[in-house]
Amino acid sequence: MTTQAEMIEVIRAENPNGLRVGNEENGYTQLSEADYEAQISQWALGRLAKEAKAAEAEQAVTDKATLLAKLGITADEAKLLLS
Amino acid sequence: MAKQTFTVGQVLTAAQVTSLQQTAMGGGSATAKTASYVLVAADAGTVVQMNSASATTITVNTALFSQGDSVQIQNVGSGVCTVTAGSATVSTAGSLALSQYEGGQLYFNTTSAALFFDIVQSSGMTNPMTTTGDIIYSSSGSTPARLGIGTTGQVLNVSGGIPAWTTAASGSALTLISRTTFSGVASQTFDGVFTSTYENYIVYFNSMSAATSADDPQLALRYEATDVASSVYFNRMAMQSASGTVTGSGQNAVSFILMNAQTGSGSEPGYGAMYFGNVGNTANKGNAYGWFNDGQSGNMSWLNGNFASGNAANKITTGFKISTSSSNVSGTITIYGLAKA
Repeated sequence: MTTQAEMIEVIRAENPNGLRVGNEENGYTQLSEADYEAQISQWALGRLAKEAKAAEAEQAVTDKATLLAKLGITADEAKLLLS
Repeated sequence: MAKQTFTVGQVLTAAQVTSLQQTAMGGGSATAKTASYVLVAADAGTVVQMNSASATTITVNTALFSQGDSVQIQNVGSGVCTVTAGSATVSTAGSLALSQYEGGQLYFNTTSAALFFDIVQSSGMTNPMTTTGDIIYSSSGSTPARLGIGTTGQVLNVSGGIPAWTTAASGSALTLISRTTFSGVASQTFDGVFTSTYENYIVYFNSMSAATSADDPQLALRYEATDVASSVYFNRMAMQSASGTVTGSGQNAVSFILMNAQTGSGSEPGYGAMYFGNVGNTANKGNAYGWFNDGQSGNMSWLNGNFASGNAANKITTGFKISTSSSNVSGTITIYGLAKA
């Protein structure tokens, strides 16, 4: 399981030149060091939440396969039982 | 110097030569007049200068001047001095009525026909402009007048026969509010784009992408430059183009996903549009719906939701923010306002 600190380092490596806001019409502004750190930290939480959700979905698939094996039936047979 | 008849062998004095020089330069001795005057033969080659506060005339008669003679006439008084044809004719392309500090040359074509070449002292136009963006137009009597610059978005119109800056008629069409392109930014805010001018908006999303494939472009509603954190309810339904599998999810969060996760790659940007209705309407909740595709892979997303729009406690929506959950975002967003019914 990736820690928040590890994820922050991953995202920091993806953005070695800092972060910016703005647009083509009005120009871009580099985020301050404090804002950069806050944004990276927030992004790390978002990515960790997505990782956790993916792991949870993967675990559900594994649990289902384990249960089907224990029952000795296929997924289609299980659907038939529930219909 | 008045017109002279020179004789052979006559010796000119220094004063005479100086006077002749002045005359040759268009000047010469001036005969001051303070009342209406009738030109005499001795005025040939001189300057007749009127100085009267009342209206006066300078009369031109025949058989006094020879062909080629000229008389300069000046008016330095505040009363109008009029060059008047007595028994001679006086022709001019300008005006024979001379205001203060106007004048001209009376030139005799024949002894009985004179031409008057007037010299009008033009003061030029007084500049009525005071501020950047001012425009000059002709008011009553062709007087230059100032039209101050209008406000952003106003158009030049005509009101009461003079130009005027006015707010463009809303009509029934969509009005472009802004078009913004951003590349690799942490977030892009659109504050103040939802105003009392409109209640309904259409927003086009072009070439949207996140910096990493794990992310999806998402939107948060804004109020006074702050993300609206409550009373925002959005549902999203996504369909995989290859399998036709449809999944749905509620998104009652500050930021809600617009497009499928596969939009993540910059080489497969996403496109779409959203309608925002009842924005700022105090009687009804705001609502929004949209549809998106992620370009190359063709997955689709539909969004539908509502948000507190006119309830001040839950914030009146004045804009939105585009971001992703954990990386930079790029794209072009165009916002149109739909005229109120």
